[in-house]
Amino acid sequence: MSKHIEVRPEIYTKIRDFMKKLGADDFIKCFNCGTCTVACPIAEVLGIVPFSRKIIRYIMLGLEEDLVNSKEILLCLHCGECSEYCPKGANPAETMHALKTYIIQNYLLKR
Amino acid sequence: MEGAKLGEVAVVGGGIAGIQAALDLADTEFKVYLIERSPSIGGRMAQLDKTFPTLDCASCILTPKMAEVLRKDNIELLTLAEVVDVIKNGNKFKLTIKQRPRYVDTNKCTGCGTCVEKCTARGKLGAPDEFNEGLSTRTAVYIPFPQAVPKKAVIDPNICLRLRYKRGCGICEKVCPANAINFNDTERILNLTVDAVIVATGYKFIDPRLPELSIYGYGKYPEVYTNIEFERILDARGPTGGALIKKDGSHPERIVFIQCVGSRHYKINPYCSAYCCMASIKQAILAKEHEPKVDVTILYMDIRAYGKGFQDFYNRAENEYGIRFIKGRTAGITEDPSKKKLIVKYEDVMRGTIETMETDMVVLALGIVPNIPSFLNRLGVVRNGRVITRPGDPISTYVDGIFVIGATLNPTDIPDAVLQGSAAAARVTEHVLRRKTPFEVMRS
Ligand SMILES: Cc1cc2nc3c(=O)[nH]c(=O)nc-3n(C[C@H](O)[C@H](O)[C@H](O)COP(=O)(O)OP(=O)(O)OC[C@H]3O[C@@H](n4cnc5c(N)ncnc54)[C@H](O)[C@@H]3O)c2cc1C
Ligand code: SF4
Ligand code: SF4
Repeated sequence: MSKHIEVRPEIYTKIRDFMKKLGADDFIKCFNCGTCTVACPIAEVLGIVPFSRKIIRYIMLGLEEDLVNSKEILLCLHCGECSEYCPKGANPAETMHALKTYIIQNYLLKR
Repeated sequence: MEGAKLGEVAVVGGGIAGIQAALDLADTEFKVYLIERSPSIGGRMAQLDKTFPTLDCASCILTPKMAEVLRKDNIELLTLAEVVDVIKNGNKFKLTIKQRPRYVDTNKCTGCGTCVEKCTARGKLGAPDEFNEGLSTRTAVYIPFPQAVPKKAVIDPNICLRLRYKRGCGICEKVCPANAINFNDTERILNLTVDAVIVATGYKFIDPRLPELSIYGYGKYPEVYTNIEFERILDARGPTGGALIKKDGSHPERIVFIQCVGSRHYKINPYCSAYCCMASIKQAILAKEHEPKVDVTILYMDIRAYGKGFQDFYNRAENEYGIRFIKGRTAGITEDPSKKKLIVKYEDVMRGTIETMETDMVVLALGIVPNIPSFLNRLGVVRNGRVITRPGDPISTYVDGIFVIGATLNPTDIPDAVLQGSAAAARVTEHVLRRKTPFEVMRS
Protein backbone atom coordinates (compact mmCIF):
# COMPACT_ATOMS: atom_id res chain seq x y z
CA MET A 1 0.00 0.00 0.00
CA SER A 2 2.89 2.32 0.74
CA LYS A 3 4.09 4.64 -1.96
CA HIS A 4 7.24 6.69 -2.21
CA ILE A 5 6.60 10.35 -1.43
CA GLU A 6 8.78 13.40 -1.62
CA VAL A 7 8.26 15.90 1.19
CA ARG A 8 8.21 19.48 -0.12
CA PRO A 9 8.61 22.06 2.68
CA GLU A 10 8.56 25.00 0.23
CA ILE A 11 5.11 23.95 -1.03
CA TYR A 12 3.89 23.67 2.53
CA THR A 13 5.08 27.23 3.20
CA LYS A 14 3.43 28.50 0.04
CA ILE A 15 0.06 26.99 0.88
CA ARG A 16 0.29 28.00 4.53
CA ASP A 17 0.97 31.63 3.58
CA PHE A 18 -1.99 31.59 1.22
CA MET A 19 -4.22 30.15 3.92
CA LYS A 20 -2.96 32.69 6.44
CA LYS A 21 -4.14 35.52 4.21
CA LEU A 22 -7.59 33.97 4.26
CA GLY A 23 -7.44 33.62 8.05
CA ALA A 24 -7.59 29.83 7.69
CA ASP A 25 -4.23 28.68 9.04
CA ASP A 26 -5.55 26.95 12.16
CA PHE A 27 -4.76 23.61 10.45
CA ILE A 28 -1.15 23.90 11.63
CA LYS A 29 -2.44 22.85 15.07
CA CYS A 30 -3.58 19.45 13.73
CA PHE A 31 -1.95 16.48 15.48
CA ASN A 32 -3.40 13.82 13.24
CA CYS A 33 -5.82 12.18 15.66
CA GLY A 34 -8.57 11.30 13.20
CA THR A 35 -11.53 12.61 15.18
CA CYS A 36 -12.65 14.70 12.20
CA THR A 37 -12.81 11.58 10.02
CA VAL A 38 -15.31 9.96 12.32
CA ALA A 39 -17.29 13.17 12.70
CA CYS A 40 -17.62 13.72 8.93
CA PRO A 41 -21.01 12.66 7.47
CA ILE A 42 -19.69 12.47 3.89
CA ALA A 43 -16.79 10.22 4.80
CA GLU A 44 -19.33 7.80 6.17
CA VAL A 45 -21.91 7.97 3.35
CA LEU A 46 -19.49 7.98 0.42
CA GLY A 47 -16.96 5.76 2.10
CA ILE A 48 -14.13 8.22 1.49
CA VAL A 49 -11.80 8.01 4.46
CA PRO A 50 -9.92 9.68 6.01
CA PHE A 51 -11.58 12.89 4.99
CA SER A 52 -10.15 16.20 6.25
CA ARG A 53 -7.27 14.58 8.16
CA LYS A 54 -5.73 13.29 4.93
CA ILE A 55 -6.09 16.68 3.25
CA ILE A 56 -4.32 18.40 6.14
CA ARG A 57 -1.53 15.78 5.91
CA TYR A 58 -1.14 16.62 2.20
CA ILE A 59 -0.56 20.28 3.05
CA MET A 60 1.84 19.43 5.87
CA LEU A 61 3.93 17.26 3.54
CA GLY A 62 3.66 19.68 0.62
CA LEU A 63 1.98 17.13 -1.67
CA GLU A 64 0.38 19.65 -3.97
CA GLU A 65 -0.49 17.19 -6.73
CA ASP A 66 -2.37 14.88 -4.37
CA LEU A 67 -4.11 17.89 -2.90
CA VAL A 68 -5.31 19.25 -6.21
CA ASN A 69 -6.46 15.86 -7.44
CA SER A 70 -8.32 14.88 -4.27
CA LYS A 71 -12.08 14.76 -4.55
CA GLU A 72 -12.62 15.54 -0.88
CA ILE A 73 -12.05 19.28 -1.16
CA LEU A 74 -14.75 19.76 -3.78
CA LEU A 75 -17.12 17.30 -2.11
CA CYS A 76 -16.96 18.96 1.32
CA LEU A 77 -20.29 20.46 2.35
CA HIS A 78 -18.86 22.76 5.04
CA CYS A 79 -21.29 21.40 7.57
CA GLY A 80 -18.64 22.12 10.23
CA GLU A 81 -19.05 18.84 12.14
CA CYS A 82 -15.30 18.11 11.99
CA SER A 83 -14.45 21.53 13.42
CA GLU A 84 -17.01 20.98 16.16
CA TYR A 85 -15.30 17.77 17.34
CA CYS A 86 -11.63 18.64 16.68
CA PRO A 87 -9.81 18.72 20.05
CA LYS A 88 -7.16 21.14 18.83
CA GLY A 89 -9.28 23.87 17.28
CA ALA A 90 -7.55 23.09 13.98
CA ASN A 91 -10.74 24.01 12.15
CA PRO A 92 -10.67 21.35 9.41
CA ALA A 93 -13.90 22.67 7.84
CA GLU A 94 -12.40 26.12 7.44
CA THR A 95 -9.29 24.51 5.95
CA MET A 96 -11.35 22.67 3.35
CA HIS A 97 -13.15 25.88 2.47
CA ALA A 98 -9.96 27.88 1.99
CA LEU A 99 -8.42 25.08 -0.05
CA LYS A 100 -11.34 25.28 -2.44
CA THR A 101 -10.35 28.92 -3.06
CA TYR A 102 -6.72 27.86 -3.45
CA ILE A 103 -7.55 25.33 -6.13
CA ILE A 104 -9.88 27.64 -8.00
CA GLN A 105 -7.40 30.53 -8.03
CA ASN A 106 -4.29 28.52 -8.83
CA TYR A 107 -5.65 25.91 -11.19
CA LEU A 108 -9.19 26.32 -12.48
CA LEU A 109 -8.94 30.07 -13.28
CA LYS A 110 -5.54 29.70 -14.88
CA ARG A 111 -6.59 26.93 -17.22
CA MET B 1 10.10 22.85 71.91
CA GLU B 2 10.44 19.07 71.41
CA GLY B 3 11.87 18.16 68.04
CA ALA B 4 11.71 21.68 66.62
CA LYS B 5 15.35 22.58 66.73
CA LEU B 6 15.65 23.97 63.25
CA GLY B 7 12.28 25.63 62.74
CA GLU B 8 8.64 25.06 61.90
CA VAL B 9 7.16 24.13 58.55
CA ALA B 10 3.61 23.76 57.27
CA VAL B 11 2.96 21.07 54.65
CA VAL B 12 -0.42 21.62 53.01
CA GLY B 13 -1.87 18.42 51.51
CA GLY B 14 -1.21 14.88 52.73
CA GLY B 15 -0.85 12.97 49.45
CA ILE B 16 2.32 11.02 48.68
CA ALA B 17 4.23 14.24 47.86
CA GLY B 18 3.26 15.98 51.13
CA ILE B 19 3.87 12.84 53.21
CA GLN B 20 7.38 12.44 51.80
CA ALA B 21 8.20 16.11 52.49
CA ALA B 22 6.85 15.86 56.05
CA LEU B 23 8.83 12.68 56.82
CA ASP B 24 12.11 14.07 55.49
CA LEU B 25 11.65 17.33 57.39
CA ALA B 26 10.84 15.47 60.60
CA ASP B 27 14.07 13.50 60.20
CA THR B 28 15.93 16.80 59.82
CA GLU B 29 14.64 18.00 63.21
CA PHE B 30 11.94 20.35 61.99
CA LYS B 31 8.56 20.68 63.61
CA VAL B 32 6.05 19.85 60.85
CA TYR B 33 2.37 20.67 60.63
CA LEU B 34 0.78 18.37 58.05
CA ILE B 35 -2.51 19.93 57.04
CA GLU B 36 -4.96 17.64 55.19
CA ARG B 37 -8.43 18.57 53.96
CA SER B 38 -9.98 15.10 54.08
CA PRO B 39 -10.34 12.82 57.15
CA SER B 40 -7.24 10.76 56.21
CA ILE B 41 -3.88 11.35 54.58
CA GLY B 42 -2.83 9.27 51.56
CA GLY B 43 -4.29 11.27 48.69
CA ARG B 44 -5.10 9.62 45.37
CA MET B 45 -2.41 6.98 45.77
CA ALA B 46 -4.46 5.40 48.56
CA GLN B 47 -7.15 4.63 45.97
CA LEU B 48 -4.79 2.85 43.59
CA ASP B 49 -4.54 -0.93 43.27
CA LYS B 50 -1.09 -1.39 41.70
CA THR B 51 1.40 1.13 40.33
CA PHE B 52 3.05 1.38 36.93
CA PRO B 53 5.54 0.46 35.58
CA THR B 54 6.46 -2.23 38.13
CA LEU B 55 2.95 -3.36 39.16
CA ASP B 56 3.92 -2.96 42.81
CA CYS B 57 1.03 -2.94 45.24
CA ALA B 58 0.26 0.75 45.91
CA SER B 59 -0.80 0.42 49.53
CA CYS B 60 2.27 -1.72 50.35
CA ILE B 61 4.40 1.31 49.50
CA LEU B 62 2.11 3.98 50.89
CA THR B 63 0.79 2.48 54.15
CA PRO B 64 4.18 2.25 55.92
CA LYS B 65 4.86 5.90 55.07
CA MET B 66 1.44 6.92 56.38
CA ALA B 67 2.03 5.00 59.61
CA GLU B 68 5.45 6.64 59.94
CA VAL B 69 3.74 10.06 59.99
CA LEU B 70 1.89 9.01 63.14
CA ARG B 71 5.04 7.67 64.79
CA LYS B 72 7.04 10.89 64.38
CA ASP B 73 6.71 13.04 67.48
CA ASN B 74 7.56 16.21 65.62
CA ILE B 75 4.80 15.85 62.99
CA GLU B 76 1.49 17.32 64.05
CA LEU B 77 -1.24 15.99 61.81
CA LEU B 78 -4.31 18.20 61.26
CA THR B 79 -7.05 16.44 59.30
CA LEU B 80 -10.33 17.95 58.04
CA ALA B 81 -8.32 21.17 57.95
CA GLU B 82 -7.89 23.78 55.26
CA VAL B 83 -5.61 26.79 55.10
CA VAL B 84 -7.77 29.88 54.76
CA ASP B 85 -5.02 32.44 54.53
CA VAL B 86 -1.25 32.87 54.51
CA ILE B 87 0.36 36.20 55.33
CA LYS B 88 4.09 36.80 54.93
CA ASN B 89 5.49 38.59 57.92
CA GLY B 90 9.24 39.21 57.63
CA ASN B 91 10.85 35.79 57.34
CA LYS B 92 7.79 34.08 58.84
CA PHE B 93 4.38 33.07 57.54
CA LYS B 94 1.17 33.46 59.52
CA LEU B 95 -1.38 30.77 58.66
CA THR B 96 -5.07 30.80 59.43
CA ILE B 97 -6.51 27.29 59.40
CA LYS B 98 -10.13 26.18 59.54
CA GLN B 99 -10.67 22.71 60.96
CA ARG B 100 -14.05 21.05 60.48
CA PRO B 101 -15.51 19.08 63.38
CA ARG B 102 -14.98 15.29 63.33
CA TYR B 103 -17.64 14.63 66.03
CA VAL B 104 -15.37 11.84 67.25
CA ASP B 105 -12.73 12.32 69.93
CA THR B 106 -9.55 11.05 68.24
CA ASN B 107 -7.86 10.53 71.61
CA LYS B 108 -10.55 8.05 72.66
CA CYS B 109 -11.57 6.41 69.34
CA THR B 110 -9.79 3.08 68.78
CA GLY B 111 -11.01 2.62 65.20
CA CYS B 112 -12.95 -0.53 66.18
CA GLY B 113 -15.81 0.28 63.78
CA THR B 114 -18.66 -0.71 66.10
CA CYS B 115 -20.40 2.62 65.36
CA VAL B 116 -20.09 2.01 61.60
CA GLU B 117 -21.79 -1.37 61.94
CA LYS B 118 -24.73 0.11 63.83
CA CYS B 119 -25.17 3.49 62.08
CA THR B 120 -28.76 4.06 60.90
CA ALA B 121 -27.84 6.32 57.96
CA ARG B 122 -26.88 3.66 55.39
CA GLY B 123 -27.98 2.54 51.93
CA LYS B 124 -30.50 5.08 50.66
CA LEU B 125 -29.92 7.24 53.73
CA GLY B 126 -26.15 6.96 53.28
CA ALA B 127 -23.82 8.88 50.98
CA PRO B 128 -21.64 7.96 47.99
CA ASP B 129 -18.38 6.45 49.27
CA GLU B 130 -15.62 8.88 48.23
CA PHE B 131 -12.95 6.18 48.47
CA ASN B 132 -14.83 4.04 45.92
CA GLU B 133 -15.68 7.03 43.72
CA GLY B 134 -19.38 6.64 44.46
CA LEU B 135 -19.54 3.03 43.19
CA SER B 136 -20.71 2.06 46.68
CA THR B 137 -22.30 3.92 49.59
CA ARG B 138 -21.08 4.57 53.09
CA THR B 139 -22.71 5.29 56.44
CA ALA B 140 -22.88 8.66 58.25
CA VAL B 141 -20.23 7.59 60.75
CA TYR B 142 -17.42 5.96 58.82
CA ILE B 143 -13.72 5.14 58.60
CA PRO B 144 -12.57 6.37 55.16
CA PHE B 145 -10.71 3.17 54.19
CA PRO B 146 -9.07 0.23 55.99
CA GLN B 147 -5.55 1.75 56.00
CA ALA B 148 -6.71 5.31 56.89
CA VAL B 149 -4.35 7.47 58.97
CA PRO B 150 -5.53 8.41 61.49
CA LYS B 151 -7.69 5.29 61.65
CA LYS B 152 -10.47 7.09 63.46
CA ALA B 153 -14.18 7.36 62.75
CA VAL B 154 -15.66 10.59 61.40
CA ILE B 155 -19.30 11.70 61.17
CA ASP B 156 -20.64 13.28 57.97
CA PRO B 157 -22.96 16.05 59.28
CA ASN B 158 -24.88 16.23 56.00
CA ILE B 159 -26.45 12.80 56.41
CA CYS B 160 -26.16 12.02 60.14
CA LEU B 161 -29.72 11.82 61.47
CA ARG B 162 -28.80 13.17 64.87
CA LEU B 163 -26.84 16.14 63.55
CA ARG B 164 -29.45 16.97 60.91
CA TYR B 165 -32.48 16.90 63.18
CA LYS B 166 -30.70 17.85 66.44
CA ARG B 167 -32.33 14.91 68.22
CA GLY B 168 -33.11 11.21 67.86
CA CYS B 169 -30.87 8.34 66.68
CA GLY B 170 -27.51 8.70 68.47
CA ILE B 171 -27.02 4.92 68.25
CA CYS B 172 -23.28 5.34 67.63
CA GLU B 173 -22.93 7.22 70.91
CA LYS B 174 -24.64 4.38 72.75
CA VAL B 175 -22.65 1.54 71.19
CA CYS B 176 -19.20 3.13 71.16
CA PRO B 177 -17.15 1.18 73.74
CA ALA B 178 -14.64 4.03 74.06
CA ASN B 179 -17.26 6.73 74.56
CA ALA B 180 -15.64 8.71 71.71
CA ILE B 181 -18.70 10.19 69.96
CA ASN B 182 -19.12 13.91 70.58
CA PHE B 183 -22.10 15.55 68.86
CA ASN B 184 -21.14 18.94 70.35
CA ASP B 185 -17.86 19.15 68.43
CA THR B 186 -17.45 22.48 66.61
CA GLU B 187 -15.39 24.09 63.90
CA ARG B 188 -12.03 25.46 65.04
CA ILE B 189 -9.92 28.32 63.74
CA LEU B 190 -6.21 27.75 64.33
CA ASN B 191 -3.33 30.18 63.89
CA LEU B 192 0.21 29.02 63.19
CA THR B 193 3.47 30.84 62.56
CA VAL B 194 5.97 28.92 60.44
CA ASP B 195 9.28 29.44 58.64
CA ALA B 196 8.21 27.87 55.35
CA VAL B 197 5.17 26.47 53.58
CA ILE B 198 5.13 23.48 51.22
CA VAL B 199 2.03 23.17 49.05
CA ALA B 200 1.17 19.61 47.97
CA THR B 201 -2.56 19.78 47.32
CA GLY B 202 -2.42 17.45 44.32
CA TYR B 203 -4.74 17.43 41.35
CA LYS B 204 -8.38 17.45 40.40
CA PHE B 205 -10.13 15.67 37.54
CA ILE B 206 -11.67 17.33 34.52
CA ASP B 207 -15.44 16.83 34.86
CA PRO B 208 -16.47 14.03 32.44
CA ARG B 209 -19.97 15.57 32.32
CA LEU B 210 -18.75 18.76 30.60
CA PRO B 211 -20.81 19.45 27.43
CA GLU B 212 -17.68 19.04 25.25
CA LEU B 213 -17.20 15.55 26.66
CA SER B 214 -20.85 14.46 26.37
CA ILE B 215 -19.91 12.49 23.21
CA TYR B 216 -18.41 9.82 25.49
CA GLY B 217 -21.74 9.20 27.20
CA TYR B 218 -20.43 9.34 30.77
CA GLY B 219 -23.40 9.42 33.15
CA LYS B 220 -25.67 8.29 30.31
CA TYR B 221 -24.40 4.75 29.78
CA PRO B 222 -23.71 2.85 32.99
CA GLU B 223 -20.79 0.91 31.51
CA VAL B 224 -18.78 4.04 30.69
CA TYR B 225 -16.33 4.51 33.58
CA THR B 226 -13.68 7.04 34.49
CA ASN B 227 -10.25 5.50 35.04
CA ILE B 228 -10.28 6.20 38.77
CA GLU B 229 -13.60 4.33 39.01
CA PHE B 230 -12.08 1.46 37.04
CA GLU B 231 -9.10 1.44 39.41
CA ARG B 232 -11.55 0.88 42.27
CA ILE B 233 -13.14 -2.04 40.39
CA LEU B 234 -9.72 -3.66 39.94
CA ASP B 235 -8.85 -3.25 43.65
CA ALA B 236 -9.58 -6.11 46.03
CA ARG B 237 -10.70 -3.49 48.60
CA GLY B 238 -13.10 -2.00 46.04
CA PRO B 239 -16.85 -2.16 45.50
CA THR B 240 -16.75 -5.53 43.71
CA GLY B 241 -14.15 -7.08 45.98
CA GLY B 242 -11.71 -7.04 43.09
CA ALA B 243 -13.97 -8.89 40.63
CA LEU B 244 -13.88 -7.46 37.11
CA ILE B 245 -17.63 -7.32 36.53
CA LYS B 246 -20.19 -4.99 34.98
CA LYS B 247 -22.91 -3.29 36.99
CA ASP B 248 -25.28 -6.17 36.15
CA GLY B 249 -22.77 -8.67 37.58
CA SER B 250 -21.75 -10.24 34.26
CA HIS B 251 -18.16 -10.49 33.03
CA PRO B 252 -17.09 -8.16 30.21
CA GLU B 253 -15.81 -9.75 27.00
CA ARG B 254 -14.22 -6.55 25.79
CA ILE B 255 -12.95 -3.30 27.34
CA VAL B 256 -12.01 -0.20 25.35
CA PHE B 257 -9.84 2.55 26.86
CA ILE B 258 -10.13 6.06 25.43
CA GLN B 259 -7.11 8.29 25.98
CA CYS B 260 -6.85 12.07 26.37
CA VAL B 261 -10.42 12.62 27.59
CA GLY B 262 -10.28 16.24 28.75
CA SER B 263 -6.56 16.55 27.99
CA ARG B 264 -4.93 18.22 25.00
CA HIS B 265 -8.26 19.79 24.12
CA TYR B 266 -8.16 23.46 23.23
CA LYS B 267 -11.44 24.33 24.90
CA ILE B 268 -11.06 22.35 28.12
CA ASN B 269 -7.45 21.76 29.04
CA PRO B 270 -4.76 22.15 26.41
CA TYR B 271 -2.12 20.22 28.35
CA CYS B 272 -1.08 16.58 28.46
CA SER B 273 -2.01 14.98 31.79
CA ALA B 274 1.18 12.90 31.87
CA TYR B 275 -0.04 9.97 33.96
CA CYS B 276 -2.88 8.58 31.84
CA CYS B 277 -1.05 6.72 29.05
CA MET B 278 0.76 4.63 31.62
CA ALA B 279 -2.28 4.36 33.92
CA SER B 280 -4.35 2.90 31.05
CA ILE B 281 -1.60 0.46 30.07
CA LYS B 282 -1.40 -0.62 33.71
CA GLN B 283 -5.16 -1.04 34.00
CA ALA B 284 -5.25 -2.96 30.71
CA ILE B 285 -2.63 -5.38 32.03
CA LEU B 286 -4.44 -5.74 35.36
CA ALA B 287 -7.72 -6.41 33.54
CA LYS B 288 -5.95 -9.20 31.60
CA GLU B 289 -4.56 -10.59 34.85
CA HIS B 290 -8.05 -10.61 36.36
CA GLU B 291 -9.69 -12.12 33.27
CA PRO B 292 -7.17 -13.55 30.78
CA LYS B 293 -9.93 -14.01 28.17
CA VAL B 294 -11.02 -10.36 28.12
CA ASP B 295 -10.20 -8.47 24.92
CA VAL B 296 -8.58 -5.10 25.63
CA THR B 297 -8.11 -2.19 23.21
CA ILE B 298 -6.50 1.19 23.87
CA LEU B 299 -7.49 4.02 21.50
CA TYR B 300 -4.75 6.62 21.69
CA MET B 301 -3.57 9.81 20.00
CA ASP B 302 0.04 8.98 20.76
CA ILE B 303 1.47 6.94 23.63
CA ARG B 304 3.73 9.06 25.78
CA ALA B 305 6.05 6.55 27.45
CA TYR B 306 8.61 9.06 28.70
CA GLY B 307 9.68 7.78 32.13
CA LYS B 308 12.02 5.12 33.46
CA GLY B 309 10.81 1.67 32.43
CA PHE B 310 7.75 3.06 30.63
CA GLN B 311 8.64 1.96 27.09
CA ASP B 312 9.36 -1.59 28.28
CA PHE B 313 6.02 -1.61 30.06
CA TYR B 314 4.25 -0.49 26.89
CA ASN B 315 6.05 -3.15 24.82
CA ARG B 316 5.17 -5.85 27.33
CA ALA B 317 1.51 -4.84 27.27
CA GLU B 318 1.44 -5.22 23.51
CA ASN B 319 3.62 -8.30 23.08
CA GLU B 320 3.13 -10.35 26.25
CA TYR B 321 -0.44 -9.47 27.18
CA GLY B 322 -1.82 -9.03 23.66
CA ILE B 323 -3.38 -5.65 24.32
CA ARG B 324 -4.46 -3.96 21.10
CA PHE B 325 -3.18 -0.40 20.57
CA ILE B 326 -4.96 1.61 17.88
CA LYS B 327 -4.10 5.17 16.93
CA GLY B 328 -7.38 7.01 16.63
CA ARG B 329 -9.69 9.15 18.66
CA THR B 330 -13.39 8.39 18.82
CA ALA B 331 -15.94 11.07 17.99
CA GLY B 332 -18.68 9.36 19.92
CA ILE B 333 -19.99 6.39 21.82
CA THR B 334 -23.49 5.00 21.29
CA GLU B 335 -25.36 2.04 22.67
CA ASP B 336 -27.03 -0.95 21.08
CA PRO B 337 -29.73 -1.51 23.68
CA SER B 338 -30.88 -4.84 22.21
CA LYS B 339 -27.45 -6.39 22.68
CA LYS B 340 -26.55 -4.28 25.71
CA LYS B 341 -23.31 -3.31 23.98
CA LEU B 342 -21.57 0.03 23.63
CA ILE B 343 -20.46 1.03 20.16
CA VAL B 344 -17.24 2.97 19.68
CA LYS B 345 -16.61 4.52 16.28
CA TYR B 346 -13.11 5.67 15.37
CA GLU B 347 -10.67 6.16 12.55
CA ASP B 348 -7.83 3.67 12.51
CA VAL B 349 -5.33 6.36 11.58
CA MET B 350 -2.55 3.94 10.59
CA ARG B 351 -4.85 2.29 8.04
CA GLY B 352 -7.05 5.26 7.16
CA THR B 353 -10.30 3.36 7.72
CA ILE B 354 -13.40 4.05 9.80
CA GLU B 355 -14.11 1.25 12.24
CA THR B 356 -16.81 0.47 14.77
CA MET B 357 -16.17 -1.72 17.75
CA GLU B 358 -18.73 -3.32 20.04
CA THR B 359 -17.68 -3.40 23.65
CA ASP B 360 -19.00 -4.11 27.14
CA MET B 361 -17.07 -1.50 29.06
CA VAL B 362 -15.48 1.82 28.17
CA VAL B 363 -12.83 3.44 30.39
CA LEU B 364 -12.13 7.15 29.97
CA ALA B 365 -8.53 8.18 30.74
CA LEU B 366 -9.52 11.41 32.41
CA GLY B 367 -7.43 14.57 32.25
CA ILE B 368 -6.21 16.22 35.44
CA VAL B 369 -5.27 19.77 36.37
CA PRO B 370 -3.43 21.17 39.39
CA ASN B 371 -5.57 21.71 42.48
CA ILE B 372 -4.37 25.14 43.56
CA PRO B 373 -5.50 26.46 46.96
CA SER B 374 -6.81 30.04 46.83
CA PHE B 375 -4.09 31.45 49.11
CA LEU B 376 -1.54 30.81 46.35
CA ASN B 377 -3.61 33.01 44.04
CA ARG B 378 -3.58 35.74 46.65
CA LEU B 379 0.19 35.46 46.98
CA GLY B 380 0.40 36.18 43.26
CA VAL B 381 2.28 33.08 42.16
CA VAL B 382 -0.41 31.64 39.83
CA ARG B 383 -0.79 32.40 36.13
CA ASN B 384 -3.34 30.69 33.86
CA GLY B 385 -4.03 27.92 36.33
CA ARG B 386 -0.37 27.00 36.87
CA VAL B 387 2.02 27.94 39.66
CA ILE B 388 4.97 30.01 38.48
CA THR B 389 8.33 28.75 39.74
CA ARG B 390 11.91 29.80 39.21
CA PRO B 391 13.94 28.70 36.20
CA GLY B 392 16.32 25.94 37.19
CA ASP B 393 14.56 25.64 40.55
CA PRO B 394 11.19 24.17 39.62
CA ILE B 395 9.71 23.80 43.11
CA SER B 396 10.48 27.31 44.45
CA THR B 397 7.96 30.09 43.90
CA TYR B 398 8.87 33.75 43.69
CA VAL B 399 7.73 34.18 47.31
CA ASP B 400 10.80 33.15 49.33
CA GLY B 401 9.85 30.25 51.59
CA ILE B 402 6.83 28.96 49.62
CA PHE B 403 7.45 25.71 47.77
CA VAL B 404 5.08 23.81 45.51
CA ILE B 405 5.41 20.08 44.78
CA GLY B 406 3.65 17.07 43.25
CA ALA B 407 0.60 17.34 41.04
CA THR B 408 -0.06 20.88 42.31
CA LEU B 409 2.82 21.92 40.11
CA ASN B 410 1.97 19.85 37.08
CA PRO B 411 0.35 16.45 36.46
CA THR B 412 2.84 13.89 37.69
CA ASP B 413 3.33 10.25 38.58
CA ILE B 414 4.22 8.88 42.00
CA PRO B 415 8.03 8.63 41.58
CA ASP B 416 8.22 12.31 40.59
CA ALA B 417 5.90 13.32 43.43
CA VAL B 418 8.18 11.50 45.92
CA LEU B 419 11.29 13.11 44.44
CA GLN B 420 9.76 16.55 44.72
CA GLY B 421 8.72 15.87 48.32
CA SER B 422 12.32 15.10 49.27
CA ALA B 423 13.60 18.01 47.19
CA ALA B 424 11.27 20.40 49.02
CA ALA B 425 12.55 19.17 52.39
CA ALA B 426 16.12 19.90 51.26
CA ARG B 427 15.11 23.33 49.92
CA VAL B 428 13.36 24.24 53.18
CA THR B 429 16.41 23.24 55.21
CA GLU B 430 18.59 25.43 53.05
CA HIS B 431 16.06 28.29 53.15
CA VAL B 432 15.81 28.29 56.94
CA LEU B 433 19.51 27.89 57.63
CA ARG B 434 20.41 30.69 55.22
CA ARG B 435 18.29 33.05 57.32
CA LYS B 436 19.94 32.20 60.62
CA THR B 437 23.16 33.64 61.97
CA PRO B 438 25.96 31.09 62.50
CA PHE B 439 25.46 31.60 66.23
CA GLU B 440 21.79 30.66 66.04
CA VAL B 441 22.64 27.54 64.05
CA MET B 442 25.31 26.51 66.56
CA ARG B 443 22.97 27.00 69.47
CA SER B 444 20.20 24.95 67.94
C1 LIG C 1 -6.60 6.12 37.68
C2 LIG C 1 -5.25 6.56 38.12
C3 LIG C 1 -4.21 5.66 38.17
C4 LIG C 1 -2.92 6.07 38.52
N1 LIG C 1 -1.94 5.13 38.56
C5 LIG C 1 -0.68 5.52 38.87
C6 LIG C 1 0.37 4.55 38.89
O1 LIG C 1 0.13 3.35 38.67
N2 LIG C 1 1.65 4.97 39.16
C7 LIG C 1 1.94 6.29 39.39
O2 LIG C 1 3.10 6.62 39.60
N3 LIG C 1 0.94 7.24 39.41
C8 LIG C 1 -0.35 6.87 39.15
N4 LIG C 1 -1.35 7.82 39.17
C9 LIG C 1 -0.99 9.22 39.50
C10 LIG C 1 -0.96 9.46 41.02
O3 LIG C 1 -2.28 9.44 41.51
C11 LIG C 1 -0.31 10.81 41.33
O4 LIG C 1 0.99 10.82 40.80
C12 LIG C 1 -0.15 11.08 42.83
O5 LIG C 1 -1.35 10.82 43.51
C13 LIG C 1 0.27 12.53 43.05
O6 LIG C 1 0.42 12.77 44.43
P1 LIG C 1 0.22 14.20 45.11
O7 LIG C 1 0.63 14.03 46.52
O8 LIG C 1 0.91 15.22 44.29
O9 LIG C 1 -1.33 14.53 44.99
P2 LIG C 1 -2.67 13.82 45.59
O10 LIG C 1 -2.55 12.35 45.60
O11 LIG C 1 -3.79 14.42 44.81
O12 LIG C 1 -2.75 14.33 47.10
C14 LIG C 1 -3.16 15.63 47.44
C15 LIG C 1 -3.65 15.66 48.88
O13 LIG C 1 -3.93 17.01 49.26
C16 LIG C 1 -5.20 17.09 49.88
N5 LIG C 1 -5.73 18.46 49.63
C17 LIG C 1 -6.26 18.95 48.49
N6 LIG C 1 -6.60 20.25 48.63
C18 LIG C 1 -6.25 20.60 49.89
C19 LIG C 1 -6.34 21.81 50.62
N7 LIG C 1 -6.83 22.93 50.07
N8 LIG C 1 -5.90 21.82 51.90
C20 LIG C 1 -5.39 20.70 52.45
N9 LIG C 1 -5.27 19.52 51.80
C21 LIG C 1 -5.70 19.47 50.53
C22 LIG C 1 -6.00 16.00 49.23
O14 LIG C 1 -7.09 15.62 50.06
C23 LIG C 1 -4.95 14.90 49.09
O15 LIG C 1 -4.86 14.12 50.25
C24 LIG C 1 -2.67 7.43 38.84
C25 LIG C 1 -3.72 8.35 38.81
C26 LIG C 1 -5.00 7.93 38.47
C27 LIG C 1 -6.11 8.92 38.42
S1 SF4 D 1 -9.79 16.34 14.48
FE1 SF4 D 1 -8.48 18.17 14.33
S2 SF4 D 1 -6.49 17.52 15.19
FE2 SF4 D 1 -7.65 15.64 14.80
S3 SF4 D 1 -6.98 14.99 12.72
FE3 SF4 D 1 -8.84 16.25 12.43
S4 SF4 D 1 -8.09 18.34 12.13
FE4 SF4 D 1 -6.37 17.15 12.97
S1 SF4 E 1 -26.28 9.39 65.19
FE1 SF4 E 1 -25.66 9.76 63.07
S2 SF4 E 1 -23.68 8.75 62.88
FE2 SF4 E 1 -24.58 7.99 64.78
S3 SF4 E 1 -25.64 6.11 64.18
FE3 SF4 E 1 -27.15 7.74 63.99
S4 SF4 E 1 -27.02 8.45 61.89
FE4 SF4 E 1 -25.19 7.21 62.28
